[in-house]
Amino acid sequence: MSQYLDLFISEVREHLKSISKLVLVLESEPKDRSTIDELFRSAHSVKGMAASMGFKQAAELAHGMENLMDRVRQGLEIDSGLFDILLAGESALSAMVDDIEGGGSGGMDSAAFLARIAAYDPSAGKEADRASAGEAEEAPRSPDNEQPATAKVEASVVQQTVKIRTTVLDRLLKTTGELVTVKHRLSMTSKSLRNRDFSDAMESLGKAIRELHDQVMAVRLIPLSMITERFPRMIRDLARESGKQVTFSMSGVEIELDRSILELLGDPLAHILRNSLDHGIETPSERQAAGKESTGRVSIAVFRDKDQVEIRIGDDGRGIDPEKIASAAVAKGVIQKEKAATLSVEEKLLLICLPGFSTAAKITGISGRGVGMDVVKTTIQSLSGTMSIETGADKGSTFVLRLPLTVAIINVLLVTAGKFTLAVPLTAVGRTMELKSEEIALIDDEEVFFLDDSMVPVVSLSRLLNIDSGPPKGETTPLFITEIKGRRIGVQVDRMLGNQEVFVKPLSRPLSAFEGLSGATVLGDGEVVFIVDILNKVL
Amino acid sequence: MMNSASIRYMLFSTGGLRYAVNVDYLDEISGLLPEYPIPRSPRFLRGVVNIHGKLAVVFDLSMYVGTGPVKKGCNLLLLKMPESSLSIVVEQMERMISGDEIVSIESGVSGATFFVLPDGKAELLDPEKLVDSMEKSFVA
Repeated sequence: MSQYLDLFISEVREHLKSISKLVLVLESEPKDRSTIDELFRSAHSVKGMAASMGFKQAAELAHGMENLMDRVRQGLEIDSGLFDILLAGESALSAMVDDIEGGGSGGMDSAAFLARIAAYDPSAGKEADRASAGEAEEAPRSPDNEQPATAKVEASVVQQTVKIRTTVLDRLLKTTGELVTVKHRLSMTSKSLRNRDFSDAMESLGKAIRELHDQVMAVRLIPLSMITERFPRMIRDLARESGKQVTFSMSGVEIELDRSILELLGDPLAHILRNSLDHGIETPSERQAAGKESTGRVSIAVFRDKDQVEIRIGDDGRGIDPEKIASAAVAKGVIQKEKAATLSVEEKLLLICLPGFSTAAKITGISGRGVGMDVVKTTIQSLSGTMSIETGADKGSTFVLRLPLTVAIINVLLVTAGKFTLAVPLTAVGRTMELKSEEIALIDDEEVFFLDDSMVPVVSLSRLLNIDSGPPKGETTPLFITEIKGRRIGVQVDRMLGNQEVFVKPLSRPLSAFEGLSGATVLGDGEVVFIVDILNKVL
Repeated sequence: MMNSASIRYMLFSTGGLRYAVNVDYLDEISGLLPEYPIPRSPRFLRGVVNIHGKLAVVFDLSMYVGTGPVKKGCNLLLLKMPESSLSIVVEQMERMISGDEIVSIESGVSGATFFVLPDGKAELLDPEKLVDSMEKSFVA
């Protein structure tokens, strides 16, 4: 029974998501016949599934929604009240499904809601009673003659797909990761054996593991839309609550990311969107006074760049004033006045990510509790990602998140600094080079060199991580170029050991509390090496 | 006594002091393993070890309480906690005791709890609190 229950829960949730999305489509195109039909079919499917599992009240509620949509199909005139009713129905059904998942019966008193559905008729208030009575007597349609048009398509898809528990996917990835480690171990042995057959077999094994890894990673990839599809509804509700007018658009959400990243990304994105609506977008009158259209714009745009993804969450609101942020931070005592004066614009903007910071004049239900942006930044950093803010007065703000597509198996540059061997993700390495000592100059107490006609500061990895390292060895200085907050930096190391593909082991407590380390990995010889979170190091 | 008789504890000593830890926290007892250094770590974290593919921090309890580094550590006591991965360097594993062997319980300074046993005292170790206070010390 439990496997049917799991299936029921996941399928009903999919239909409810679809209903939520379709209502918003209908809101913008109220006469679209295919949307009306799809809404009818989704409600019908939920009703059928709930009834077959014996969840009477969920079935009744879905039946009410189905009947309402059938009346719309028959030509019932509609207004915004319909959208509210359907969304309220979707919320009530979601709550029932949550209850069922928690072991309950999904039983909730929905009589009042069903009466509201039955009474809905914007064209003639008096006819509501008649409609109500008529609908109540109408028997549910048989699934045989009202089967959704998509059913046949679904049937053929079912044969090609299978649902897998996410824990199985996690184990599969872990085992593949261990295989990568063992492969490197065998490769080292292979080199010392100097046996051609063994080397050839190793090469074949390497190819097979690479293919296995690619397949495992592909299975784990999920489109970003899985977490963004709830946002149109969220924005709509928030706009209504706050009396603002907003259009919301999304692009590039079909781009796929590893599910472990997506699982953590939903709440940060929702928080930034809430902030955009609460703090960024002005009221219609404020916007008109500023010479803008009364309806604001909020958007999510996603781009893929090699093995990274860039997510831009933007609004055309009032923008963020870095000076106001800095003053607020000083007033709250989260930063010293002298320190604030030395910060760049970008750094001042990022002060909103300090724990407890909030510029909201009053705490609202939408955002402004001051517990959000610090969590957003920490989450993005824990995923080896970065966050920056682009803003201008009255020009709106855009939060730019850059994240890796996958986190489990990555390519790294192995380097040494002092007694440590460390791994730097290749996504953070622009290029590697060796500088002669005369190529490094001292300007304003800062070591720099010239690259492509521009001055690039040189910082040692040992200094960045605050670890002991002796004086530079040899006549040349090995370094890699990285970009931190838009600024190119040459990071000097003791030695470069080369690139390698590694399986990232996340750090558990107490190591996870260490700044500057994003994970660890085990090399072929068993050596444990830490992965440096270079992009989030503050210079 | 105050503790349920059915609860069992492992007694061990390190840095000349004796400790008791609830056996529910015990995952594995291992000999010393190759240790790899952790950048920027305090001295009481000696490094990490790789135990069957799982990375565990090597914690020098003796160093942490201020009695100097363990000199003759011979075992690692790997602890089992939901979000943490910690192994303690142990000089000597003693024995398992049950709650009814505890004669009385004493409170020490700074909230420490001591079991009074027929053959002496042992400080009760709370691994969760230990990890919490370690993390606070990193921030400080």
